[in-house]
This record gives sequence, C-alpha cells and structure tokens, in this order.
Amino acid sequence: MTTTATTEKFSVHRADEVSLLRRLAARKISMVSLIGVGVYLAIALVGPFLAPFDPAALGDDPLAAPSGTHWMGTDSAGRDVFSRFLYGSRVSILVGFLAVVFALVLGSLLGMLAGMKSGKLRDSAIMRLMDVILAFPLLVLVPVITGILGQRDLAVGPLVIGPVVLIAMAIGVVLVPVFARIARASVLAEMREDYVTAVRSFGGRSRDILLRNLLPNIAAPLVVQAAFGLAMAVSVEAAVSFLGLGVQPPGASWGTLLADARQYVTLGAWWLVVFPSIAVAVFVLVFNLLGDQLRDELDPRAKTTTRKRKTSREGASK
Amino acid sequence: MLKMTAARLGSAVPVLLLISVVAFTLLRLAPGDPALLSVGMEAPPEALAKARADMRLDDPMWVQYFSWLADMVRGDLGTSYSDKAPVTDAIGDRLPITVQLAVMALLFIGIVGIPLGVISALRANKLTDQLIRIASLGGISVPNFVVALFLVLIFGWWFPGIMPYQGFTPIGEDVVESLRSTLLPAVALAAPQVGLVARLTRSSMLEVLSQDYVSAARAMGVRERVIIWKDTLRNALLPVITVLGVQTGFLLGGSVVVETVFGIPGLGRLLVESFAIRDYPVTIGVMMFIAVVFVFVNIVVDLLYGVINPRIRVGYASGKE
Repeated sequence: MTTTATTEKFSVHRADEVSLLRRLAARKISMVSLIGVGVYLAIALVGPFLAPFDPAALGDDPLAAPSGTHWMGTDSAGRDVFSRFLYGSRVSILVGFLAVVFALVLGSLLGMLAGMKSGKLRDSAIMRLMDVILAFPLLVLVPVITGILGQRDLAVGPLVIGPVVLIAMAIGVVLVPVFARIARASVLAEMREDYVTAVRSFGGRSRDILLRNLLPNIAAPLVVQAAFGLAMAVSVEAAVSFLGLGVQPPGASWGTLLADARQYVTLGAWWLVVFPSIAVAVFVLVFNLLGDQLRDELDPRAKTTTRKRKTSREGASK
Repeated sequence: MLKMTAARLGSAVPVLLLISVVAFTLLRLAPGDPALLSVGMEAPPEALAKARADMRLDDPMWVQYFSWLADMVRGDLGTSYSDKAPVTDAIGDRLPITVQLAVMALLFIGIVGIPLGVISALRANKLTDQLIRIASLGGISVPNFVVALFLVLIFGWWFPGIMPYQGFTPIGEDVVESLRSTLLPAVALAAPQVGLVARLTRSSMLEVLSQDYVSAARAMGVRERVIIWKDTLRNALLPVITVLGVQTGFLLGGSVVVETVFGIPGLGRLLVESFAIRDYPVTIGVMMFIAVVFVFVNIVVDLLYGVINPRIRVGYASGKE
C-alpha cells in the first residue's frame, strides 16, 4: 500500500507540472503577472540591443527632460537615461535571478539536511546559523560578503566570476534562511509519511531519499517562495546599489540609476527617479502576484480564503 | 510566566554570542584597512604602524575578540577609531532619533493598517475590499526608499515649503518642528508595512469570523458591533502583533536607506558611515545593539502572546494548533 502511495504522489506531481502554466493562464490575475514576467524577461534578454545610445557615452545636454531623442531624458553627465535603463534592467534582473537560484539550492539543501535529523546537533547547528544570518542588518551583510568573496579572483572553470555575480551571491546568502526554514518545515511533515518509512525500511540511502523522494514532494512551497524571493532580491539589490555598496558606477542597475537621481530630485529631474522606481515597483508587484497565484495552485494547504482552508484541514487530518 | 520568561532570556545568550563571533570575523575578513583609511594613503610607514598598534590590530584575532567581549559584558563597547569617543555615546546620540522615527512609523502602520484590514474583512469581496486589497498589494510592492524619493520629489520640488524634507530638528530644540522633520521619513518607512498589516488583519479577521463561537454569539443575539470589536478583533490581532513586533525590531535597527534619503542622522546612518571608514568598534557596536534589540523584541512578542491570548499561556498541549 505504501509503495502505491509513493507512485501516486509522483504521478500527481508530474501532472501538476504539465498543466501548471495552462492553469495559471486561465486566471485573470495570473495572466497579468505572467505577461509582466514575460516583459521583464524580454527586457533583460534583448533590451540592450534596442538601446539607441551607448549607455556610458557622455552627452552635451545634461539633465534634459524626456524628448523624442531621449525618451527618458538625460542624466547629470548627459548620458541617455533610456539606454542606461535598458542595460541596468538586465543587471538588476540577472542579479535577482542568480541570487534566488543560489539561495534556493543552498537553502533547500541545508533545510532538508536539518529536517531529516530534527532535534539532532546537525539540525540545531544549521538552524542557529540561519538565525544568525537573519539577525544581521541586511545592508551591511551584503557589502561585507561581496567584499570577502571579491578578495580573490573566483572562477568556475573558464568563467571568471564578475562583480555582478558576487553581489548576486551575497544577496543569495541573505535569502538562504527563508528557503532553509521552509524546506525544513516541509521535510519534517514529509518524514512522518508512510512512503518515507517504506523507502527507509527497504534500506534506501539518505541521499536518495533526500533527492528522489523528498525533494519532489516539498518542491511546491519552495517554488512559491522563489517567486517572492525574486521580488525581494531585486529590491535588496536596488537598496544596496542605491547606497553605493552594490553595483559600482559606471555600471547601471535600477539601484545605481536611483542613486544618480538622488541629488537631482530637488532640482526637479523627475525622470531620473520615476522610470527606475516604476521598474522596481512593478517587478516586485508582478512577482508577488505570481507568488500568490502559484501558492493557490501548488500549495493548497496555504490557501488564503477561509472556506478553502477548512477543507484542506480536513484533508490533512486524514 | 516568570519561568517562561527566564527560559526565553537564557536561550538568547548563545544566539547573541554566535552573532558576535560571526560579526567580528566577517568584519575583519572584509577588505579595507582601518589604519590605512585613518592615516591616509601617503602616510609614512611608521605612522601606519603606530595607528595599527593603537587600534590593536596587530594582536591575533581571537585576542582582539575576547578583549572586546570582556569589555562588552561590562557595558563598554570600546572607542571609535575616528573621533576617539566611546561607542556607547555614539549609539546614545543616534538612538533617540531612530526611536522617534520608529514610533511614528509604528503609529502609522497600526492606525492605518489595522482599520483598513478590518474594513476589508467586513466588506469581504465587495468593491471596498477589492480596492483596499489592490492598494495594499501595491503598497507592499513599492520599496520604502522609492516612496522616500517620491516624497522628496513631491515636497522638495512640486510643492516646496509645506513639509521639511531634508535634515532633522532635535526634539529638545523644537518639539513640533522635530515631529514635522520625521513625518515624511516615517511615512516612507510605514508605507510598505501598512499594506502588509492590512492584508494580514483581513485574512486573520476572516478566519476568526468563520469560527463556531462567532456563529454562536450571533445566534444568541449578541450585537454585531460587540462581536466584531470585542470577540473577533482580539483574537484576530494575534498574528498582526507578531508582525508588528518583528517590524519594531527592524525599525529600531534604523532604516539606512530612508535615513539617507532624508538626511536623518539615525542609527542606520551611523552603521553605514562607520562601515565605510572601517571604524570596527562602532560598526560592531551598532550591529550588536541591533541584534540584541531584534532578539529581545522577539521574546517580548512571544510573551505578549500569552497576555493577549491566555490559551497560549496554558500551553499548546490542550489546544488543537
């Protein structure tokens, strides 16, 4: 009986994945957020090719308001804000994605390792470390980690890890505890399921249980959190770069664009503020919406309306 | 209750120790030499060596750590590298400003967020509810420093002269002016949290309103107003209080970015300024202060739970969840 339960779980899960996109598209709000995700992806992929000017080229018309030539105006050095915006969007979005991938992989692994040995030394060591990360002021932690990682030239094979990737990794570290906590909590619940006991009694190795049996079954809440994590990573990047502790000039990102804007706000250079602000805010909104919708689809236990919650509680008590 | 308090306080000690070790190590590992930054690049090597010795940077790291720890336990956080003033004084100077800002922000969050959530829950799925929910989600999505920049744009350029948007007036100088100088920063800090609290209050209210005891009260003819304000809200506010508590921790840590935009010399500014010149004693002092506040606020929140909802004091064993 236990083995059929296992296969059932897998097959149900696979079916979910196949139709997930289609089911999301059927809802109006999810459709809006999916379109938003698509627009941002497109900007990140092809944006720089559409830039009308060299983003670093100094112009002779500083602080010009938006016009036919300069769609988003020019900054204090006469650079075309629209071109800088397109290049900067790629950097911001890339940092966000890399940070979440990093946090998702490391956090899930640590959380699962902790959850499998709950109450043991490994568990408390990992989770206390997560508490420590959470207790630090984020805006100091990110530059400190970037600095430490950046002291030596890091390289993965032929790929040299550049400053943008370092910032992404530092933001990733900050996000790790969120994923670790969710992974641990989910594993704790799964460990009580019959199928885990079954696999264990057959002598399954821990590594196989972890990756083959547990991971597919706890993936849903982690995927949901990844959407929220992206929103968070992007706003952290913007804040850190805004303070001059993240992406360094002359490189552009939403944060550095806003940092450039800061001194000129009171001179009325609204175009320097408005466009990157909207980009950040809409990005966060789109991924928060996506996260909400994904949670409704993937993780019925966390549904927000009361009536649905009641039914799921009955389901859980079975 | 007393026993529970003592146990929670005791469990905070190892966490704080671990935080101090990690903070100390991370800061020393980060690139940048405080001695070099203080004497300047062109200084003769002897001056650099003297500065290093003064800062006790030549000692092994563990010696530095334990002497710092011993001082800290006695309430001495060391002296700043830059102005040779005690770190506790530096924190003491900045703290009231951050507290003033945090209290104002919390008031905004509570006064605006909770009623919005209650209204939203009572009008569930009606137009008012939909509007509030859209506004909350929008609010959550705009990072606070973006709100801050827009406020500066509005009050610094479009409508100048209405509200101060730069700098801080100490409360000792002029109470009204002081409150006015922190009003916009407080709004910027509160804006994203208001949405969060409204959303949380809404879902929590809905959950409680569907409980059997609410139906029973209704069946017995208890007036709706009494049900909502007396029976429901009290239980519904539990999760809201947790979130407000955690936010207090963050707010007391000072919001570096909002303080930067408005030129407010709070704790957050102190942290970033000291880190920029690698003034280790100040940076680690502020970090530890924030961590202590953060840990203790969480403990207070846990204990408050018991005060608000006596069921929890009895323990989880008797309850279902």
